[in-house]
Amino acid sequence: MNLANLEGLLRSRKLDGVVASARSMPVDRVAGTGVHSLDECLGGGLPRGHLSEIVGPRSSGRASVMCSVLAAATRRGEVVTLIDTFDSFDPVSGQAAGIDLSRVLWVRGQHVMYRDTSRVVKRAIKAASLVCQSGRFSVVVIDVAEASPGVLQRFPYTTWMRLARAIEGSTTVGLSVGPVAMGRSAKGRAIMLAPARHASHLQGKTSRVFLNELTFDVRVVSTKYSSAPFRLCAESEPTVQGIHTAAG
Amino acid sequence: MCLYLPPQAVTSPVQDVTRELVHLAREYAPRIELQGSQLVILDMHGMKQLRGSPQEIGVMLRRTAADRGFVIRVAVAATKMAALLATQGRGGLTVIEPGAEAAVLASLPVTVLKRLAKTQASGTNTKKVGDEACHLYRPGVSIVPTALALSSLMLVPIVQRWGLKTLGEIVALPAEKLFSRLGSGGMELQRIARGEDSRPLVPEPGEDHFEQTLSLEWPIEDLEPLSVMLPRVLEPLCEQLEQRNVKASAIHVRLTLTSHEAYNRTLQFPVPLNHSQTLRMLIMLDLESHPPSAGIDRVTVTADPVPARPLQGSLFERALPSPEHLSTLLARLSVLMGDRRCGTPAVIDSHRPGAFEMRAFQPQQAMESSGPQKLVPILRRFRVPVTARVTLDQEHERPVCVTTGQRRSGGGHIVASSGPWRSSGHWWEATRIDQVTNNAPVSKVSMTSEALHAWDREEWDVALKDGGRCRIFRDRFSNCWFVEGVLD
Repeated sequence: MNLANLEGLLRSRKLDGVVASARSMPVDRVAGTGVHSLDECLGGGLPRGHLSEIVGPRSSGRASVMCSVLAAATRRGEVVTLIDTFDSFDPVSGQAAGIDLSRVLWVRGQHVMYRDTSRVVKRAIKAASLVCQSGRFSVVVIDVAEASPGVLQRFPYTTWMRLARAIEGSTTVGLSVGPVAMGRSAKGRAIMLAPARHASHLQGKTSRVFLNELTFDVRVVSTKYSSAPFRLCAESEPTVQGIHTAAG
Repeated sequence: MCLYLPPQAVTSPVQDVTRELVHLAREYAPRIELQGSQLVILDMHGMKQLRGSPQEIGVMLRRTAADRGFVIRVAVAATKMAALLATQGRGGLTVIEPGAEAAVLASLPVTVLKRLAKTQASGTNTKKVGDEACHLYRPGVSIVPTALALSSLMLVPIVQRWGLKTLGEIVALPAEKLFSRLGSGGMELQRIARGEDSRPLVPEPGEDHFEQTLSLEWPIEDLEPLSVMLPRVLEPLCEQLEQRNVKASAIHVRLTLTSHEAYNRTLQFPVPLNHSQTLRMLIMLDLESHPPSAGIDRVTVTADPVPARPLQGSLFERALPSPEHLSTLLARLSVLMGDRRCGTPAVIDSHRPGAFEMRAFQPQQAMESSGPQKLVPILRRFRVPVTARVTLDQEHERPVCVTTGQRRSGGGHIVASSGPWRSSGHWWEATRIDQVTNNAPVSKVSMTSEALHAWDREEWDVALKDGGRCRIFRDRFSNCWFVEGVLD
């Protein structure tokens, strides 16, 4: 049995979504992230109907890439959902990133201490399931970046697979943002982020503009391949961060 | 079609007569216009297949009215004016074929114009004295616009002095000479005599009270049986809304409890709805999160109607989530995450750091926008800033180390910093940080926007040794340090 026959059989049983194909995704089946170099590496963008993830430590550009994905979707006229598990999204920064906030359904979790993290994450996953099952949104992001890796790893892999199944076959892009890899669809991508340089190079720097640059290394991982790391720089004007009066 | 109840046939109070006449008219046509207290015009266009020929409808109307105890005159014509004049000049049922209005009206005496004006004026007077019945059917309108223009009515005695007896004689007058003697009023009088309309029918607004009540034989203690009973209230309500071509922008659920208390809930929808299953789902989700304290004896549901505006999807814009699905999803999310935790963020015009407001999620159609997109660093903001201990460099008064009690907010040695960036606002208001936190220990200080009005702070952006980037600030009222967020 050759590969084409195998794929045909899987498709007839509606199981083709669980196997990563060697073929590149059609243009209408991916959602661009708004970052050209990242889109090239992803093969056009994040695959629709699959769960992908953004993984990285604190200050590694996770929120920057997440907001870039949301901004690109809203600029295409799509409606998106952000499940903000710990209520840490800053609308001012989001607007500066180019997100059309009127097209964002913002589901706010609760700011809690660490001992309650598991309960809050569980609730956020339920919310994400509801949104994914509705099938009405182009991008659904669940942001659990502030949860500790230990808490996230206690969730069984099937939790994320259920989310992946909920969006399978739809045009929704599922995206989780976390400190560790949690789970993704077979055709989903993992965007691995890491701070580009150690902070010691900033020793003695006092310019605010300099601190508003965030440089990080990106590596795209899928079932079939892992790309070579490349560098991205997120940069903003000081005024867009909400600073209005400066002295000193 | 016009219904007229002659004064000699009126035995009840005027309010009751008008109410009966309007009810009768509404049973046969959705678009009616009230002309005074005893005169109603019905728009019967497109009703032939539903109700039969105009003659049959006229007969049915007279028979129904007779069953209810009053005798009416009915006239069917292609124009309103012809029907109005025919009811004033002829008894019983008059059917005027289209195009034959002038010929049929020609034999009517000129005095029908005066009679018609008087009948319409009786309605105007009724309005002026505040007739409740009339206000019920014409909310917000105080005076009935008369079909006969005042200028034309004033010309009737003149044409009578000329010796004209019938409407046909007015029509027969040469238009040019009539205009030279009576001006535009004369021309209008001639149009009226021919039975021509000067304005289209202005339909009465429908009954704007959409309410359904269900009294239960046995009290309902659980919500599950209520979900079975709710369609008995909601389906007629939605049918009523659909008939009026309106949708509910909000519904008010009033539960009469076994403890004789009234339990009220109001559900505002992001988009108007008239789908009973969706409404049932939304009510049940709301009651699950806010259950009544006792068994339910009676259920009353009232809808706030708004005009239904069906929109056609665009070929060039992306489809939005349907209102029914969106409302249900938002209700489910609100039950799960809490009230006001789901919506759309909106940046407000304020200098307060991180100021925003939540709005209802109502996405509008939008075209794709082009142009370059920029990758910018995002601040992960701690909605309640985390209290921090900051060590300052004594020489330059710059922070060199930041410590917090929480792992997620980070901390450690600072390798680079920029600041201070000072901002303040609303200092002219009474509530200040020192007043809010005077009695609270520093660790318990909460910096929620609800608690504070005034702020005065020095911000520092710091790079930590472990690679983290934070924004910290010193509150100048309390001299406390906080971590505002992490740059990510």
